[in-house]
Amino acid sequence: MLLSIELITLAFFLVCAAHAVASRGREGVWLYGSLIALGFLRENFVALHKLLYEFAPLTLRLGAAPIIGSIIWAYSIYITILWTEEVTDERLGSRPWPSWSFLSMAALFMAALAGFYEPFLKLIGMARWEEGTRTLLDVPLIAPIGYASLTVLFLLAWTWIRRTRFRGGRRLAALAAVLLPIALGHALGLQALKTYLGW
Amino acid sequence: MLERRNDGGEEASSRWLRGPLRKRPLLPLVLLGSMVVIGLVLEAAVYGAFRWPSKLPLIGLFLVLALRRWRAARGGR
Repeated sequence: MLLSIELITLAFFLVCAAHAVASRGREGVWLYGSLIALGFLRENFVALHKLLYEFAPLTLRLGAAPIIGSIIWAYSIYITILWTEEVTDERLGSRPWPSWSFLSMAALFMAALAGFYEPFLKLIGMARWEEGTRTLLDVPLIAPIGYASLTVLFLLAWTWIRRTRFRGGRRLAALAAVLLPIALGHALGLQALKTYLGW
Repeated sequence: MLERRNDGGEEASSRWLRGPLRKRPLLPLVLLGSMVVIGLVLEAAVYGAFRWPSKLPLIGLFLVLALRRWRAARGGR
């Protein structure tokens, strides 16, 4: 059962990658590649530092975390961008910085996505949140905040990267310099907030 | 693999890749929608649980999108 869910998610992830390349060209490659890197770094920090939740022993792994944990961020944030572009009539990258309405709608969509993923992940035992984590309808209270905040941080970082107009190796270095602290800071910050709030 | 559009953007040059996706610009959202349906069916059929209330916000946001596209189609945009 778990393997079939992993494979379905992987297939959908690949279709979204093709969509990003087909509809956005080189920027789509960079955007989707950055999202993959963000997911990989974030989930591996969570696994290595034993933050927030543990993973089930899944078949497909990348580093210390399951592949599905890494790619689900790319898949989800990319879909969030599409939905937000459609409802706000604003294309990511069309303005110097994303508007407040773009950022808040993207945050809203990701928070809603937590309501879909988390109960299902709990039911099949794929994600195991810390003992005593407070939930509502099987959604950990901290999860929508985590989903939304990582998305907003990424959108701002991505816009900054585009504004620098770096190309090739310099762009790669800039991405590494931005995504590493975002991934680590987000995992640590969310854990600290969860502990502080007693959630 | 990539070619430049008239508006300065880029897109895939492969007809195989470009054709189906150009006709379905919101295909990833359709995939997510099908994922929600798969999730609901699995929960209900395999695990005997049907946890739809937590999915209501997402379903609502999908409806917002559907409504906007319907209104745009009616307006001939």
